[in-house]
Amino acid sequence: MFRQISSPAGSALEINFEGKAVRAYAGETVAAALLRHNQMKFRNADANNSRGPYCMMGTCFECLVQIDGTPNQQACQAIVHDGMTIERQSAPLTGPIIPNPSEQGDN
Amino acid sequence: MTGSFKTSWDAIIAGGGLIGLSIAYGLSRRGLSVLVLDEDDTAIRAARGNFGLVWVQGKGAYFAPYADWTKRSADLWPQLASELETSSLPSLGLSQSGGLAICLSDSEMQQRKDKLDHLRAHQNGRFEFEMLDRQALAEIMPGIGPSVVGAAYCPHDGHVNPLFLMRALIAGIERHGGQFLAKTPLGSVEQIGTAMRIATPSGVFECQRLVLAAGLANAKLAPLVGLNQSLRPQKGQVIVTERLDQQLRLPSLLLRQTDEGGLMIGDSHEDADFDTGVTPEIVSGIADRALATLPALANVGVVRSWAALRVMSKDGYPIYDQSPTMPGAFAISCHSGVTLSAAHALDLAGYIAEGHLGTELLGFSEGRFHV
Amino acid sequence: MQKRHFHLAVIGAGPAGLSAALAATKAGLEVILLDDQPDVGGQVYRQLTRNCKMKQPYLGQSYFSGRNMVDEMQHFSGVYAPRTTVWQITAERDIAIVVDGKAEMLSADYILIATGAIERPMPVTGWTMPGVMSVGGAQTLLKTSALGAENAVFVGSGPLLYLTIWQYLQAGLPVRAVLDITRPAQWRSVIAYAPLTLFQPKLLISGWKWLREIRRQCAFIPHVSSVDIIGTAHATGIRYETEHGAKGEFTSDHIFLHQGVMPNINLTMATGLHHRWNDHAHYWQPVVDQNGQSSDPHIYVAGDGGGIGGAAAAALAGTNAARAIIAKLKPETGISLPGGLLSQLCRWRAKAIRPFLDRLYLPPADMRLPQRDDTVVCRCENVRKADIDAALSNAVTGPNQLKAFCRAGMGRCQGRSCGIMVQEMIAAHHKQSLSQTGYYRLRPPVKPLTLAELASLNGPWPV
Repeated sequence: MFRQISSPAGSALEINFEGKAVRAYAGETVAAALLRHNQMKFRNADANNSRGPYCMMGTCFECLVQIDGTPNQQACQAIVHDGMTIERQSAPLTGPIIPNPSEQGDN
Repeated sequence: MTGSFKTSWDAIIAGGGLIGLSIAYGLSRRGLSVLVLDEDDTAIRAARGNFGLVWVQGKGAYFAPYADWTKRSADLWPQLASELETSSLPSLGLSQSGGLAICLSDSEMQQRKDKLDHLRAHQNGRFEFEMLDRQALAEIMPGIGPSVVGAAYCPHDGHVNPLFLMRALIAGIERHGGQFLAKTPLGSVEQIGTAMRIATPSGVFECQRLVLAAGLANAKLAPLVGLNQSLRPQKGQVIVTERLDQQLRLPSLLLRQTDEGGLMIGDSHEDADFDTGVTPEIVSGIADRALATLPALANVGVVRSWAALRVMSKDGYPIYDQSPTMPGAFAISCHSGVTLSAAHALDLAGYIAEGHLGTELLGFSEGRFHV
Repeated sequence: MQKRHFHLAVIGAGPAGLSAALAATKAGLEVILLDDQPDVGGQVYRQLTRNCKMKQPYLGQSYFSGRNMVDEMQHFSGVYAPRTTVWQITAERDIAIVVDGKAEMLSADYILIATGAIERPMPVTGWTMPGVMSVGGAQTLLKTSALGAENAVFVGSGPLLYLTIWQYLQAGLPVRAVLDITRPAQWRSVIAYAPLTLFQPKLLISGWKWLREIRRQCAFIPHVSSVDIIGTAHATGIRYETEHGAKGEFTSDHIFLHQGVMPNINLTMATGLHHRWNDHAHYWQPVVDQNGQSSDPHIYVAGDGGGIGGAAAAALAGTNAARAIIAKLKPETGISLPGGLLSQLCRWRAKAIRPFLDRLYLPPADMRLPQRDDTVVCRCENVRKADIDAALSNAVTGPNQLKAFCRAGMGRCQGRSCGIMVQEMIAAHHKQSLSQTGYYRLRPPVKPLTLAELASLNGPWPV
């Protein structure tokens, strides 16, 4: 469990992680907000191979999450904003990024 | 070298790239003892910078023997792959289900069609292709961008993991008793009776067959065996993306998805001497073309880029030469080391073991430039 | 292509970059300060301005001492470019950047690279599981968000480890245990360097103070020689063994690892600058002269990115490099270099203790290198020790051949996490020196960017 030692510097706002509302504070990183919420698993590198933040400084590329629909965002670098949606991802990326012809109309 | 290292070999191959390794493997599997001499970890290595296509369409459109040789190699590839793959090695990822040359303009389409028509004409039905219009292409490759006009589809094309191919060739050579000496460039060559004596910084060796397959360095080495090879480097830049779920069914000339999921995207053809620096403006253009081809790739991350130097002869076709003064010595240069790996390992190695170049390669001598 | 042009482009806004950029603008140079963070301070003073609003006395004086420098940004007359990633420096010394989804090329007469340090990897079983972080990561969380883990186990050695645990204790956080990997042999090996500690007595005293508190308040296990982190979906505990055969286990959801820092050489290597293997400190560093000039006379390196020295030394190095550049661009300012004997002595003294610390806290080989077959070495590509061992052969004499054969080093981090381990594994296998073995050939982009960002540079498709 992470404990909040002093009051956060920024004003409170709300982000969404995996469909659940999470309180966060203006100016902080997505990683910090999720860790405060006791979420440590950010992605699946493989089956039975979850990863979470490690270096917190943008050099290990472990903390990758999908933010507002854009994948592979480093949570330790991204700053929260009100209404942000964050999802875990699997690597390789889940789902086709090239649209399926049966889902598309005329190309 | 200490006294315990063998000095007498059936074959010595100068060059640890795809040409050298394929021939060395081919010789070793026929029971010859082979020694591969290679430079160090950071030497110029076309083999580590190539795209991985096992490609037939377009090759030798204006030079039938090359078209024949290329098709022969593509046909031999499944045999090579099945010989090389073992349970302890990563899969080669060979896939030969066809390939595309995607065209972003009507003139590109026309140029491609003309070239392939010409190729088909002299291949007597051995070479097949089909020009796909936009709609037909979209069925194989959903998501093509609005500026894609169509593509040339060839059922003989395919791709493989070129780095794992290298690893598998090395393992194959070692399995058959072959050996490697890194950081060992070729020094001098002398004919002593029927054998050749090779001097290197790691010692003096003797062999019955010597194969020069040192890429661009062959230009410098060929005179050691009384041959000539005029080679120049042609720079090509490539970018590689992070890994994605498998979704590109077929490889294309400039865009393919590797067996591990990353996209390899190329390319360029530059005369830049031996410079292997990556140029932001060029790779930006490469990215731009990829997005014109598949706009949905916009958010895919580029994790690596490189520039490699193609080994180009005067006309771009391979050079296969046998020394007139040292009949056991051969010099081989080409820039299609992946596609031709099977023919090199399974056909050419046999010819070299027998002391000749076969019949289909006689038109590939450097002498063709001196007519 | 029209490019914005500057006298000096500073890459990195930690103490070295910041002090250089400030000094250069004061001398009238046109400066751009390129920062991948939203605000200056680098890692050591990360989010300092914002955090001064939080009451964090437990962080100690060393953090807030950066205040003056950071506040000076209010008087910065150059261009400050936050959230900007530098992904390449070309042979012509143009700088490729991307910010807000758009790529751009800049040009500068001089470049100062001040990209700081990264932590050494600690390849132990289970180190990739959620719940396991570097101590630097734990400290960053504490500094920037005032978040601290309860009942964490700390593993490793070195000043950053002890400082962070001390900060944790000052913040009132319970610490489950500290597993210290420093061995008696290391103390013996630094006897000759001991007199250097007298030049930085404050640091020595601080270190002593921290260790005393740590031993007093925490379960402190010295001479740990191996650890295994346990858990399935995430870390739940850690088993250890000491040099003398004592064994034990602690339960915890938070394991923090640290065994030293090393220069972040990804940008300097991808730029093609000459580097040397520093055998004493056991890391790669760019070859620079006393003013930080690299093998390219127009590119300077300052701060930990040129060799570990700490924040104070970094600030001095940044200012000094700026002076060297100012002297070249504006000789009329009359700056003389190397700035007199006193200036040189000050810079030396600011990191005099380093050779002592480098040796004392150089992790032993059995902690630097993976010990078990299934330990992950390349985190990005999930390449384990067994995979690397299988790929090693006579044909593989260097990290680039190995990378080609087993993918170690091909991931997004470009070897930042695994490179030094792979190099050492190859060196050990072939019984050759670390210097001879070499390193991954690093290439742009130094950090990933998307195809759309790359395409936005507007390079024409080559005909």
